[in-house]
Amino acid sequence: MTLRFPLAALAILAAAFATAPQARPVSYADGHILLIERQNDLELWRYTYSPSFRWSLSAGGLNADALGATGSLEVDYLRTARLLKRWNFHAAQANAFGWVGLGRARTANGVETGRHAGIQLDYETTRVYTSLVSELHEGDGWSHRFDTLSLGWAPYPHEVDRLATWVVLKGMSTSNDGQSGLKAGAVLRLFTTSWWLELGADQDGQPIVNLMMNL
Amino acid sequence: MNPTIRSILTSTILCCCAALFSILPASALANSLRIEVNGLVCSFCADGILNAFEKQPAVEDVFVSLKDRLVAVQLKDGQALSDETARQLLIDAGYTVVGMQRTEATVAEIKAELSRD
Repeated sequence: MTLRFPLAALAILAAAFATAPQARPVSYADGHILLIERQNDLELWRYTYSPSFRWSLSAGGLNADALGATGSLEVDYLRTARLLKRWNFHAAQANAFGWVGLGRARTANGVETGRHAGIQLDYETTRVYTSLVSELHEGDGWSHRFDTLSLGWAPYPHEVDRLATWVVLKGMSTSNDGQSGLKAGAVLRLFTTSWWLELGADQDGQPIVNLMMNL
Repeated sequence: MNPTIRSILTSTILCCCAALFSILPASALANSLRIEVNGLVCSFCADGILNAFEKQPAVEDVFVSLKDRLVAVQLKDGQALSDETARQLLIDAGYTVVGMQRTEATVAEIKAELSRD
């Protein structure tokens, strides 16, 4: 992957941190969320149940292209996530989430137990959205890290009974086997109270599709 | 019954009703809640508020306004929902309650009022 797009500046900012999905890893008490995401070099799904707004349990899987010798990474996992801190402001909200998980990982080295951990920091108003997500998967002799910085802007304040529209720029970094790659993308995000859809493309014109549903 | 006595009795009953009505707290008549909430910015996340209140047997209707940072809850006739329960439902949904009022306005009336502002 090479930098050849103006938005790559965002990716450079993201290089210090985290993964593709911008879904909150914890929703609300008794909330069920299904997430499906597809990019050129990454596919993932995740089902999350939140017994409370403070923590959640997820089952998921991802398939990511590798930059180095370990080949593509396939992981099926279980994870638990926790809301570490929430700031409810007058007209804004900020969150810090963390999560850890274990699962079955398949790389060029074979199948083994994979472990992962991640963090998400976000800040949101009805017009502005920013998030920073970092996730590290590793096993014996391999590691795979995803970092994503998202900056979103809404042309009009969104409201519960209306369709929300956002334009979101993403800088995405992938690191594994001592190699790293940066890319940028832009998506149109549409959502209501029950579903969330992102459609866009990365700097190479490859599609980005992200679907999330409140079940 | 003697018409005079009937008249006196009727007047007495009406006076008693009027007196009782005047001393009832406003909250006993109010059947809706207007709740001011901090952190209300995401409609996808606000689904948790709608779900939580709609599961309450006493709740007739619920409305969330991100713009006004307001949750309005209308109760069924003769049903009650304590302030503490309402506050806890919002806390469990991940939000911070900063104010709560009882009102006689229905959710539809509150919506109409907000849309005029």
